Amino acid sequence: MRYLILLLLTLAACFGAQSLALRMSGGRTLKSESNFFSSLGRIQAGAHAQQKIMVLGSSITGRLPDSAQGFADISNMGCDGGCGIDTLRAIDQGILPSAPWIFIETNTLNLSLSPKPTEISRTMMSPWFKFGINHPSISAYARPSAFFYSKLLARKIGNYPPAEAARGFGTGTAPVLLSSAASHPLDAIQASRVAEVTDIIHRLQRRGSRFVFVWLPPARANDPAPEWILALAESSHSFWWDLGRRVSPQDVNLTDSVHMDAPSATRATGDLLRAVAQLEREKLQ
Amino acid sequence: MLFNSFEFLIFLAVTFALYYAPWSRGRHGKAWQVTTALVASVIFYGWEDPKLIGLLAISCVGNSVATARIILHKVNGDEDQVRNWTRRAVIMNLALLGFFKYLPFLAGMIPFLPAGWAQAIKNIPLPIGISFYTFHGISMIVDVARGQVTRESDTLLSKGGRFTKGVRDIGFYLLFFPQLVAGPIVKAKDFWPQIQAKRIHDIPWQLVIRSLITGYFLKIFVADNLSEQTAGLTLGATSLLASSPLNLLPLLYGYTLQIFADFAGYSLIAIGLAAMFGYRFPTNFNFPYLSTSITEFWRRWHMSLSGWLRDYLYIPLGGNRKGPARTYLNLFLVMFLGGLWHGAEWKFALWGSLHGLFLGLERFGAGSKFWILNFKFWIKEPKGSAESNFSSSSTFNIQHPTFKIAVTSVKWIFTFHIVTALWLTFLMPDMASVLAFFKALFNGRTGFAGPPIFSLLFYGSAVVLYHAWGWLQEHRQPFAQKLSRSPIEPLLHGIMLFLILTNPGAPRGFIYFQF
Repeated sequence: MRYLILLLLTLAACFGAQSLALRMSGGRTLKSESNFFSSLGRIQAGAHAQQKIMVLGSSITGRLPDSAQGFADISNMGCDGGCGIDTLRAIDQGILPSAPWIFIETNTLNLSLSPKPTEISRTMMSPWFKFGINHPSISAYARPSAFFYSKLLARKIGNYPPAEAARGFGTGTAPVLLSSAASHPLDAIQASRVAEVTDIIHRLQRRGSRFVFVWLPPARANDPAPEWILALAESSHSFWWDLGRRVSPQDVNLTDSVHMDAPSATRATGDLLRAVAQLEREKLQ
Repeated sequence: MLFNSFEFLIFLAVTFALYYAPWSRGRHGKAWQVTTALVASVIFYGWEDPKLIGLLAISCVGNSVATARIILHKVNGDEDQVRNWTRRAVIMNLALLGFFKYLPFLAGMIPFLPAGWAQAIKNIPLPIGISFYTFHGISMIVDVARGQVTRESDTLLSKGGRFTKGVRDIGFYLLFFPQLVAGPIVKAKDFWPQIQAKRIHDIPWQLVIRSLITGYFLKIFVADNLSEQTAGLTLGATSLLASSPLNLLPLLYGYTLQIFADFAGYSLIAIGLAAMFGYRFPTNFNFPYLSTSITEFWRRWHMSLSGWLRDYLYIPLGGNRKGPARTYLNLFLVMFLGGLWHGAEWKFALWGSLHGLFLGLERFGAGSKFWILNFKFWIKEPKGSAESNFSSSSTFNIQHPTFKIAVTSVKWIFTFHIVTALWLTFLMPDMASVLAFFKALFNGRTGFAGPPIFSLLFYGSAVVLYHAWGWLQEHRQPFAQKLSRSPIEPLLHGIMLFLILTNPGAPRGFIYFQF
């Protein structure tokens, strides 16, 4: 009996400490040492928060600050080592909630052309994943290891500036709707992916969501935007925004060759918020 | 079905409830319990692929018939027939193993074999756990033939009157689900006497709780989390050559800790589950990374396999009774075959052979006059030996505790790193990757990634602490006993349960399931 009481008390103390740590870190941890759990954690936290703006993408998106860093309207649902299409499918299937504005990062969208189902997409179907959305203690964003790893990562990528101070890169650009007159040469896989994602987006648009395909910093070397992505934006009546191209390389600090540091990621988030505000104003007019 | 799956929890709860149902206390309690556990084991095994049950049935019926015949001839004193049936049964078991596990491997080496045939042979699926239940079968046949298994029903079985019950009990021994897929390899002489009616109040709950919590913790928290990082070691030579030593070394150490946590975790879960059903399984791991020699490592690592190889292979081959040359040959042969038992690939044979080589070297060193090969001999008997001359000219006092600790530490470091390095041949997809790994260790790159080292420290420290506990039990027994009696155990179990629930790795199969 003494064993059982002590065991239960210890368990209660551990869960209590975890809740406290979660509250102190703004509702979710920044990142886990595991790409798999970092991705699931962001998606679970994003689904739990149900914000006005969702950003779907890869680990590049994963660096963007969201409601945990004081950006109350944003859910970061970046999928490390993946892209936003798995998350988009989960929204379409009703596993995850939708949002009025959905940004899809295009930097890694080519990964969606692989026919192989990802581990993330399989896991999003599991009862454990769904349970974790509503029970933060069991979620991937409250893993004890993630608290320690987030502290370490903060040393590498710097601290996020306060949300109020978030200014954009000052590119003066905004998302645009592409002309449907242009023709894009696509191969069979690209054409089938465009058709599939277009159908999903049309269904979600009917439920009130608006979509922006965005290329985040860093910019592509010199290549033009992939044709199939432009075709996708066009056929789904979504906005296209080549933000990375417009940002001066001197304004973006990367911690490696592809990931922004915290201050640069905050500026990118500032741009996303500004774009939404502008598009909403235009709609009203 | 995996021990770490949701469906297993339901399966376990149902089986446990039926096994100890009120009517199991009656006259036919044993029959009910053994039949329940046997049916549950068949469901457990066939859950993913019911076709596999057929093969298991062949093994089970074949071994039962052979066992019955051996007992019959044993009772009649016909030793020739006992030998004949033993030979047939062992050949049947080895044939099953050979067909499914080694034929696809050999097909690639047979010259002039038509390509279509070779491909068809290579496509033969490897039934899960075949290496384990084949060894169980051989153990049973040999133990019965040696007269080491004696039960009241043997005589009845030999007369044919209770053949069905005999098959049931033999099937239960071969198939009992906690050990069916990856051991521990329980010997018939240890298991058969335990086949009795069980009572729920006899369950050793302390053993069950300790084994299950520690086992699941090692598997779900340590091994599954480390495996996400160590998978990077299997991406091939090109990927390894592009990595820096600062990433590769933590991954290698990580794999060393992961494979222990994975297999020892599995074994502990099996021991805990068996105890829930009233059966005692042998300890399979005794803190192997505390070893200060390869010989000691094999006395602590996968002990049920080491014991099996010793009893059913090394000793029948002559062991160390036929002179030094034969002893070395036997040692090498047993380790070579032990390596191949893990998988039908040359890399496993190489892994076993290298272990055999080091065992041979240690054996040679133990009888050698060269002090460098024989630290132990040198320290124990300095007076009057050749080594004492060396020590008298030395400034060290070799009997000094500090010096002894230093020597033990060197031996431990040496052993640990040999074992660690040899895991590479076990893990890597091919020899090119092993060579690429060592080449990359000296490529001068300084790139550093956080996750491998973080995972090694965060998850690997649990294995280090586990071994520290083992060291305390062996070297500071009074203190360890004091700790055992203190409230530290429920405290640790609480933390471990919390980490199992909140910090699991991505669910993966057990490494040893593939064998």
